[in-house]
Amino acid sequence: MTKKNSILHLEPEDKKMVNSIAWRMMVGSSPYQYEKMQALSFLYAMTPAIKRYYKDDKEGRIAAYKRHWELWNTTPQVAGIVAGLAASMEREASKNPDYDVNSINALKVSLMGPLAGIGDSFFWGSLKIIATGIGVSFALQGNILGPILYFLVYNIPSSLIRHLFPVIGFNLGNSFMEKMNKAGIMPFLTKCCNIIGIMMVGAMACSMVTLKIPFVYEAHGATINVQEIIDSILPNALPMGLTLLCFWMLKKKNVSPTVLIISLIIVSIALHAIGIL
Amino acid sequence: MFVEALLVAIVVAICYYLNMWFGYIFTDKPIIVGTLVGFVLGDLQTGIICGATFELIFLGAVNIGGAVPSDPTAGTAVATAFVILTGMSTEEAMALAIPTGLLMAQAQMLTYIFPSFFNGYIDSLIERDKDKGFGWMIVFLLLFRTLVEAIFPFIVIFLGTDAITAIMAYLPEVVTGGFSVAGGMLAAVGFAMLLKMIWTKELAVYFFVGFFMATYLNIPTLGIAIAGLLYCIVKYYTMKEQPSYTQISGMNASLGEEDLFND
Repeated sequence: MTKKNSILHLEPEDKKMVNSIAWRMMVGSSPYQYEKMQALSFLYAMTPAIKRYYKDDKEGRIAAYKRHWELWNTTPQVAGIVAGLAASMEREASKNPDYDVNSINALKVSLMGPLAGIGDSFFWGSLKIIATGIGVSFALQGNILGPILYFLVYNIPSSLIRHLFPVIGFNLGNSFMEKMNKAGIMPFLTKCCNIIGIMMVGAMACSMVTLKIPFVYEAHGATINVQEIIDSILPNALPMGLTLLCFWMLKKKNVSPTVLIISLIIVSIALHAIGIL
Repeated sequence: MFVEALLVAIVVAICYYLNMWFGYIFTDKPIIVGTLVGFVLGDLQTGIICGATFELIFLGAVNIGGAVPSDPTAGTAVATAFVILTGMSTEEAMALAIPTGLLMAQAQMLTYIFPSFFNGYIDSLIERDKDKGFGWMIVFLLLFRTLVEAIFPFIVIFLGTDAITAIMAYLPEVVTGGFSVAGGMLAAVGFAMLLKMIWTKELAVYFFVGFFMATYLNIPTLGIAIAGLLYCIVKYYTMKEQPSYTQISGMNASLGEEDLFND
């Protein structure tokens, strides 16, 4: 494999942008919130790419900012690969006016769950345990090597991943995009992104939204456990129902997300106070 | 105790901030925090040993998907400081570290609600094309969380152990419980906003496909993504076999696409 074709090779003009994306993507969970999770980090990470590809197109730039200011959540260490991919898609979108920009978000949505699954089990499940095992054995004897080794064993592999994943993502995206454009199956592919994306939203709506009713109705010694009844009919009906209700309010009733959130908090506290939630 | 409390709080703040800003470099883990607290309080040896002990206790405290069972940073800092300053045993300090960790985890979950109130401001930054603001917002939100994390060790070390139980008793359960219920529900708003973007009538069915695969078949997200991918590959080959499609797609790609997904 020549250096030019290597997955880690970047043209000098891309290098600066991809490095900047890698550093920016690290902020990860810093602005974490329940509603959009790590969206602000993704927006921050995408800024260099958006500013570059939509340099003279203010409308396009603002639309792109809006696109990346949507729910995003994954293991921060591996998030860069998606940022790299998204940057290559933004490049394509800025060149091609017919490009279905929704597929960018659909791709993000379909990748964030699996990536978090792999990332969390690798970083928290394996690497951290290895680092702890090595570090603690020294540190329990009061040896300063303990914390130092802990830090290095964990951070050398994870820094490599943090810096190389955006490069890999960007290159994968670019070569893929070029081939697909030639084959003329871009519309089909964006559709596929959307299908997988919406499937993942459906799956995550029931695993990441928690809503249970611990309320038990008691009358004359007989008890009715509301949650058990719901679970026997349709498990996770409440999280799905809530997601669809919010979606309906946003789309059909044009309720602003902030109003939705504040009302959710007020309703939660009220229902919790009377013992339903 | 003022100087010591301040030093420990600064250590906690730096460890916490660096960890978050550089994508979990783990400076907030007990083994590092304990060592640094030991260093600023003049007993490095004890700090390292305390750090290692609490590292093992907080081994299960993993931060995944915004759910924090127990926060190791402030707990370790407080416990290590008490071991060094009052000569308390590590076991006694453990009884201090764990409730502190639980309390801080609750406090941090509350701070996850706070950034939502600035979403409108970020929308307006986007509208005005002010990209510099994104980074500063992150700094501001992270500084706020760092402050929450650091202020508690400061108060506890400054006032003494009684402060923890007092603070715990002060928060009414209705509010903390209500907020944790709301915390579980707020992701629904985020998913709803994603749906608003992708949702079309023909794609709606796939939302339910994903939901039923996760609910009834208990397939993890990775498995669902793979199933979706395989489904698309099958679609691709079915599409290739239909000669009419390739002709149409040459002239009008969107028409072919309609055909494909209406079967």
